[in-house]
Amino acid sequence: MEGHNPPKLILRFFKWFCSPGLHPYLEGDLLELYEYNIQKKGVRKAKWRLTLEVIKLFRPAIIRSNRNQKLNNLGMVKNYYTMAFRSVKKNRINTAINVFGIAIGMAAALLIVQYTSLEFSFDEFHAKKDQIFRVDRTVIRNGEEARRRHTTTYQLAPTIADQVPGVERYTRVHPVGDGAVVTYWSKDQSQKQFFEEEQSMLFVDQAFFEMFDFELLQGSRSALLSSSRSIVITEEVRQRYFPDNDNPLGEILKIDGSRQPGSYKVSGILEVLPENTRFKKAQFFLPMQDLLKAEQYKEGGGWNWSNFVSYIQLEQNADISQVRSEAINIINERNEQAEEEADAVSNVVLSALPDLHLRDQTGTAGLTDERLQFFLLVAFFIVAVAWLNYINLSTAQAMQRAKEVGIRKVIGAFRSQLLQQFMFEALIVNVFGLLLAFALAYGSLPLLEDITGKSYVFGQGIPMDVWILLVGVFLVGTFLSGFYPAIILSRFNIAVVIKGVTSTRNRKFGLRQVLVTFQLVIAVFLISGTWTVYRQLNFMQNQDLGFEMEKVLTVKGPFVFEDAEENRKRLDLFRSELLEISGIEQVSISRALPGGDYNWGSELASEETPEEEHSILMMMVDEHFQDAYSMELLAGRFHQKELQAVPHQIVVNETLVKQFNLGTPEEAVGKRLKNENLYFPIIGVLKDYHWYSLKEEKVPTFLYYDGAGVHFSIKMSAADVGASLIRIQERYNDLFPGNPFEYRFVDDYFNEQYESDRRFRQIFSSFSSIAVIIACLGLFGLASFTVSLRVKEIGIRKVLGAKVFSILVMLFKDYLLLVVLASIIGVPILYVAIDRWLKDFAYRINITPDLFLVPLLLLIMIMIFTIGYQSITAARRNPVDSLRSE
Amino acid sequence: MGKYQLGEFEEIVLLTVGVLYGEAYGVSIKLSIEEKLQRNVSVGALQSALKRLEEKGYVSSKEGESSSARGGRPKLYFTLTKAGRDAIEYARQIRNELYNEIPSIALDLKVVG
Repeated sequence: MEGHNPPKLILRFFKWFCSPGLHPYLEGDLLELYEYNIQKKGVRKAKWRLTLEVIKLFRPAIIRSNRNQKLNNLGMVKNYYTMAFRSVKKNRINTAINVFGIAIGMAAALLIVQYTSLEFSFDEFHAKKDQIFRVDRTVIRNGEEARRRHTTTYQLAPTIADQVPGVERYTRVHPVGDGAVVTYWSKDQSQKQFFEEEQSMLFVDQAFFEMFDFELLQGSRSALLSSSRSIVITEEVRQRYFPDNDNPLGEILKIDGSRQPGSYKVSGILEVLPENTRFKKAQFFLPMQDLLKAEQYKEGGGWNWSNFVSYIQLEQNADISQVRSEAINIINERNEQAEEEADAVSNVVLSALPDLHLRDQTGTAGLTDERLQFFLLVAFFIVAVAWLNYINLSTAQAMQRAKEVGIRKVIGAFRSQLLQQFMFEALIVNVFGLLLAFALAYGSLPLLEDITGKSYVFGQGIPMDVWILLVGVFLVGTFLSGFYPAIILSRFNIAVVIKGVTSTRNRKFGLRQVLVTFQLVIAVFLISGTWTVYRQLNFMQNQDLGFEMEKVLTVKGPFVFEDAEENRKRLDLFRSELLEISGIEQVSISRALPGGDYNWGSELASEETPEEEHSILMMMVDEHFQDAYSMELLAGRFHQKELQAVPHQIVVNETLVKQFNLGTPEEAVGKRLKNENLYFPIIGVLKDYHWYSLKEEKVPTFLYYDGAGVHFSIKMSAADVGASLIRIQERYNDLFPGNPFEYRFVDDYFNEQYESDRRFRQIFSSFSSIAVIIACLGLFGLASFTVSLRVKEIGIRKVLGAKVFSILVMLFKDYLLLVVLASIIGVPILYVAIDRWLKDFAYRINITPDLFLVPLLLLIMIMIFTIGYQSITAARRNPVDSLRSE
Repeated sequence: MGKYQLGEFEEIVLLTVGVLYGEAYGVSIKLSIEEKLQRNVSVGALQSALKRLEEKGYVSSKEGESSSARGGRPKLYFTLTKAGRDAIEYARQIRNELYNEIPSIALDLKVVG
């Protein structure tokens, strides 16, 4: 009968679900039918039939009812509940540590998820997001890719859309230079006027609103910006300028400053842009056609000025690589017409819209995929540390509950029931922790908003699959953290326990030590990480930049004026009036500020080696700029107002001298740079300065003379800044009526470049401290417990003559060993991580031992502080107290 | 059918239990229904029908002998109870009454169709 045996697994499955009363008869029937079917249809069919029958038997009438058992269980669960609460009450401190640890940990994790979800969702909400690309360009010189630029000439996008099949539409985006003053005169001649920042006003093409899905409240989408001098604003702007008018379509906003001043008619109102778009800052949208009317864009047919961001939308099934190579062809054709460049090949890269936020290849991204993933890892660590606390504390206390376990076993509890009981306790702690976590996270959302500078709605924007993942992690974590203590607690031998042997075998290296070490590794890692980030930021902000800007105040020049000639005079007047104020040392007018935009960028060559071109940046400044920023001149002279007979004189920086191979600074003075038929004679060389943040390499720059800037740089002496400020404002308001007085210190302005890094530091350090605090809580609980177990031992030692100090050493020794071990494990991981992070910065600190030692000392101090109190009280106790009751 | 609740399949099972008088247990009922009605009957459907019939009191069950052919498992025999007989009677009577009330023309038409 070999091979005729019925499938065991199926029958076992049947036995498992079948009600015990019916099972023997039904199994008999099944087996009889099985035999019958073997005769009639063969073994295989019979087996198949049997399986099918069993599956069909899985129905309410047949399945075992567990009504009786359920009743029984309910009673037990009630008892578990009681016991859980009793043990909770008995160990208040440990329970508090557990619940709060888990609550804080989970709250932190929730906030991190909230934060990362928003960042990951950038520009994911546009229906056509997969079809929209930004056109980036770069040059490959000698096989090496030069820095990518995210801007192009304004003719490129239309030409691509026109000539390349598969490109549906395009839009170019150009910010309003330097910002502008916007005024609304209502019918009763009352005035609303605000200064609008540079990034808040964008010139865009009409297709912008068809490519990106921004909700339109008023106006018709196809007609937005279709006519010249129309403007689209956001709801936020409407509330500012037209607080009483719900439908301001057709109203006129007057714009002063900017590239195209004038009156603009409101043609549409957008809902306030969502947090997760790269255009978040934009509030005004102006027609690109108006910008292109500017005089400077007329020459060169649209191929000269390359400061336009171009987005193209491809057709659904367009071949991206095809479009890209055609775009390269277009650029190359242009280049051939213009000028031959022997060893450089133009290249175009199409960057997908959703990638631009975290995977932008053009420039120094503050936030990357990697950093967000790292935050998620930190989130997990924090919760893990809390769970490890639970495991440590509950196993450490196992002995206390040994008697309860023993009695339960004697009465007849199965091990599985004991497991259930302890798992149930873990569940209670975790559920309470979770509830508290939600409350905590909800309450601390404003803190997160503060740190990140974005607004959140609690729980919103977290995708479904992330929720599922979170629930999964919670369940698995709860299970695992409850399971191990449950195993330990339920495995006591009855006889041993009842007899009253209560030794906590403190193995030298048990699981508890492993877990504590793991927690400490996390702590070392996070503290060191925070320390490194802090050091690097400090380094960047304190580095000698080549100019001083600490006491330099910058004031925006007037945007609203009647007559340009008159305005020029007033600028000079303002300057001379300011210099009369005591405490003001120098005033300069320029078109650019350190850390801000440059005024012109191009490829130049030196006259001696005209075939070797380098890209340079130019800033336009007046003759006082050097003095205002205390820049050091190495050779030659700075600009002087009277010495402008030779046109296009420039003052260059050291980097430029080096890149162009102009020899020493002294030799460089007098040489000329050349761009087609323009010549730039070098009149001076400045000591190197960091025009941009230290995240970036120094670039060759030169300062060009221009007396009519838009930024005043006012250098003050240490005297009363507040009083000077008031007088500056008075003068400003007198001379430039109708212009809002906007000022700030240049170092603040400059340091804005570190904004994303500062945020990183703050988020990182906040969550690191949370992790370390939770770990300390656990350590505190553990230490107080182990100390309490050794009270007698300490008593005996003292009787035998041990000193307080030696007892302290004994108590600390174990933990200090673990700290050392943790750092040995942690340092290599740290080294790799730090090295990786620092690579984002062009100027960075060296990885020195103090990056690891300082945090280590800190950790040891925190630890001694954490476990010190109990240890000292225990060590100082009179042995009589601990020994007399036996 | 206010008094006697009987579904179509239940009725067939009940009748078969009566037919097999004394020999009615899971397999025999199943096979005989399958033979008579030419349709497959799953053990699950049959057993839940029998369970319902027993709960209604139309059949009673008792454990029989066990044999090695069934893996040593005993058979569970079903017999009709008094209530079961009444239910069958009642169902049959209702059907007959209804049949008799069909106008003859309807039956004729069927022949034509």
